[in-house]
Amino acid sequence: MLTINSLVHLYGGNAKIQYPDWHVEKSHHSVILGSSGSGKTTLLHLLGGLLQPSQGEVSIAGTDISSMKSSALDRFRGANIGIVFQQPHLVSSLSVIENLMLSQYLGKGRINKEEATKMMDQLDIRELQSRKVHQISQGQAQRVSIARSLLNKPKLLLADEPTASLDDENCEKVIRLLKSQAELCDSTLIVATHDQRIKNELKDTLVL
Amino acid sequence: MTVFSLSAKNVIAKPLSSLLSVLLFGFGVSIIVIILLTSSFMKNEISKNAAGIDLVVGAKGSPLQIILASIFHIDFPTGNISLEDANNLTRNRLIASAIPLSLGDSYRGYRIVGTTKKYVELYNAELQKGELFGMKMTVVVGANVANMLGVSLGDALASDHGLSEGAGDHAENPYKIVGVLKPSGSVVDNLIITSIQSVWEVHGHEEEHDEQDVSEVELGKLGVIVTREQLAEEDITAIFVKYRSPIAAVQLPRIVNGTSNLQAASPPYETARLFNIIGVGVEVVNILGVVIIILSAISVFIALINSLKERKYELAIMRSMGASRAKIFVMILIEGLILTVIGSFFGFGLAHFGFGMLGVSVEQFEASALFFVEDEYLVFGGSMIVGIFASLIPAILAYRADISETLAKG
Repeated sequence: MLTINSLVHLYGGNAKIQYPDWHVEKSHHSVILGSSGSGKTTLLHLLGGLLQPSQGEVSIAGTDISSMKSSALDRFRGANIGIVFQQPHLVSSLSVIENLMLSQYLGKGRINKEEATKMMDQLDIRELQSRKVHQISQGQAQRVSIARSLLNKPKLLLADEPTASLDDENCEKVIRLLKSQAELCDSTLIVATHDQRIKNELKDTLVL
Repeated sequence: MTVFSLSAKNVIAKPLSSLLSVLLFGFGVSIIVIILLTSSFMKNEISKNAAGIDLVVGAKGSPLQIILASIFHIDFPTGNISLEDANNLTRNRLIASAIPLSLGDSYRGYRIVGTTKKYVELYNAELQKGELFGMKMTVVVGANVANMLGVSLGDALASDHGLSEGAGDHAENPYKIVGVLKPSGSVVDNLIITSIQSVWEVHGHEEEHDEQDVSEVELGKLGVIVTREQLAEEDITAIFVKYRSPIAAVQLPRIVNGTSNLQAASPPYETARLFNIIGVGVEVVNILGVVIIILSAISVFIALINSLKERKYELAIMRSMGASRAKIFVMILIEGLILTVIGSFFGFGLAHFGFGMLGVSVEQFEASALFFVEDEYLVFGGSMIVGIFASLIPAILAYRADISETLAKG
């Protein structure tokens, strides 16, 4: 499902980070564990095609994305990769359901309101659908952002520090939610975090 | 959902800042358009009123004043010339025909012009009802005069001496209205027209009738028949001259100005001079309009840059959801264009509305809100280019944003 091979990233100055080779099987939900500054967010961005690697390759479901052109990469990312960021960053001029439809529009080029509604049911946010983004709570916004990243049934679901500011109870809830939703959508979940609590919930661990 | 609808939603999401940009842009555009409309309209009016008049000859003084007084009826005449001098001049073979004008009286603010029937023909004015004036104290009134004063056929007008009200009157010698003219869109609409003999009569020179020569002579080119006494003693204000050949344009003004009491004034030359004088003011107001448009472009620019700052995570996330750089670029560009297009439509609407209002409130200014000028396309095109430039830099910034760096921070 996911393979990284002699991956190297050079930062703006002369700092360089070399990642160990890693392979993740389909549906083997995994965690990238590392303290802050260890390059886990960078790795996540490399996996998600938000960043081009300086050396080495990243291949997702048999496609090498490390040498793709920018626009082809945008299309590939839209169709195959969902990303949940630490902050939800929903588009503030749109309502909740429009945010979901935006993801469909940008990822697949077409809108399916039925699927969006189904996804909202799955995440229990249906009643928020016509609210503006500033009218919902932080927790609800996170659910919307999870729904948004899963809507196009991505092969790979990446999550960056989804539990950073949560207490134990909510941490567990969120991680279980991510796992169950990824399974429902047939996606492979990879979480980048420094949060040791997550380790036990997921199968593979890459320690940086 | 389309890129356009996304842009539109972003514009609507910030109503106040969008409104400010639209208002500023609109005012800038409307100032330029209204100046354009007014000056084109005035040029139109002036050439319409001066058409068919090659040269105006009046008493020595400012040629511009002669033009303003005798063609546009907005200034005071430079003085009078004797009928004899005028007649002697018209004998010149360079002159095809001439129309005499005697100004100086008015009725409730509307000027009375003593002239010949050829004056009415010059402006292609047609009768709405009644008949043209005759020799004896009869007048036709322009359409505006009839409307504004509520006068009609058969009414008597006691003229005021001078061109403003209350300067003493000729109550003992009233005119009678025998005709009303159709609206013609020229100065005639605001005039009371009578025969030149009637004006002389009002000023009452005929007490010394006896012993004088009452045999009549015809002054061919001026188109009037007068007594020898009148030819010797009466004055007129100006004559409109029609040249026989183009060469007259070179020779005749020199001949006229060489005659001690006469002054030649060429309508095209003097109106060009007038526009040069007004032109400075027009230029200043135009520059003001351009400055406001540029300010508003800067406001659009700042509004977009600010909203980019606020939305940088949103935009990065849109990229992460599969939006290409080009799509983000176009979205920001359209946001700027929506503001400038709405702004300029608002500006055009405001300008035409204002111009129409001017027509309603200012007399002698028959403007319509539907008066369009070709150059408005240029103003629209120019304002679009300004709008594109104002949105271009924000769009390029959004295009070049490093999404990974942005998302790593937030």
